[in-house]
Amino acid sequence: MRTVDVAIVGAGPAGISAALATAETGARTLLIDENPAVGGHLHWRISQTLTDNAGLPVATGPGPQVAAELETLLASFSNLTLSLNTVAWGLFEDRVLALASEDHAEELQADAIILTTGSTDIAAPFPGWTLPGVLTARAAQTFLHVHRVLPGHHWAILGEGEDADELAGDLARCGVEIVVRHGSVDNFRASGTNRLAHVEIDDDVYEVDALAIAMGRQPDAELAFQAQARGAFVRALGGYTPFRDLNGQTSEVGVYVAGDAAGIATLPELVAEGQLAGKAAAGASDAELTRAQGLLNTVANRPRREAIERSRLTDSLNPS
Amino acid sequence: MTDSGDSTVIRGRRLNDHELLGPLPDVEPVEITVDGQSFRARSGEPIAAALMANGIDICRAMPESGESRGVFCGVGRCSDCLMIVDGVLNVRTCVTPVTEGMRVETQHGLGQWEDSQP
Repeated sequence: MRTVDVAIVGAGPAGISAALATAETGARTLLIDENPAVGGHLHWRISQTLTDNAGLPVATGPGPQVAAELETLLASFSNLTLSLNTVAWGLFEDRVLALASEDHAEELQADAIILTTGSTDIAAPFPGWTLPGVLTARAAQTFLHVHRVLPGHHWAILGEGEDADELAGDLARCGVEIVVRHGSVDNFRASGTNRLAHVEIDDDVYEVDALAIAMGRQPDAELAFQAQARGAFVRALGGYTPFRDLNGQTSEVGVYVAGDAAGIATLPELVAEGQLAGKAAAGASDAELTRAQGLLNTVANRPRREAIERSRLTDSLNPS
Repeated sequence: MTDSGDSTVIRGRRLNDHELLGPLPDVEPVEITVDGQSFRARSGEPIAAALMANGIDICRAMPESGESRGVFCGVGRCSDCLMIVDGVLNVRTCVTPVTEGMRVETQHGLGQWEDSQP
């Protein structure tokens, strides 16, 4: 079985930050992602890094450009290997990770594993939600910015908050019409024969050809739970999240979770959390860890920090 | 319910110019067929993107209700966009790139394997 010092699953902003932190210590690092390029949501949430690099060690710019620069930076480390187009589908005892790509499958053992697997969209059902033309915000952003195809010209947006606002801005940028925005699934339905044609809100009918569900995102830490890490549903973190110690380590020794996978976060938080987990996984000194924890605290938003504090892994859970 | 029927074909969907990302880079075009009809796609793009750019929004019909399904999550999680690709059932078209001469078919229900299945 192949072995590495640190394996990181998910090459979004948190995973990249973790990989750079471990690689800098000389640790043999493997960074895994199912997509053909590193960058994660920088590819579809393209406006986050336009004016602020959020602590990433590259210049500001549209997300895909930032991602490309980060990939160049990662490639400069001879002790860092990038495994793209590779799915990490299982995490077993003793930090054994199961990987699969189109022509290859293997098990791999790592001294430490960092899960930076991000989030998935929340999609509350409503009448008509399965019609073609109804899609998640993430699908909409992926088709607009990555594939460069318009799912429709006349849009409805369901949901309110930052994700809905971000999508509305993206749609406006792409020159399509936002016909209607609505906050919740109450008295809301989509209709059409074979494809979305209308949304109905109370007694009002709107003609649309695309509907994006932008009701927020939920953490995706499935691999950690597969490895028996303990966790709980924490509403303030967006869903079911693993308990973690100060550095992001779960109840499974040597298994870390950082970024959106540990609770929906802002980009600067993802970057700082990734760095901290990377340093801890690579065995950094207490002084260095204290510094990285301090950096995270300066960028962390208060509600998320408090929620994490409440779900903090105590010493009794993880004596190491 | 059929897979084409009275659903409107929405055109003009290729985003050639993008305010932040600039003009769409040139790539090698490839030719695919969808239910026997030829369409042009961009090399490397997922099947579902090529279909959508050509006005095709329906990927499959549900086994019992016959209801249409199209792209929903767009990132390989939900299985709404499954189609038959080169005779293989249940291919996630939103994360499977097109290749020259690829044969894509609408999947009705659970679909049926060809005699010469891989």
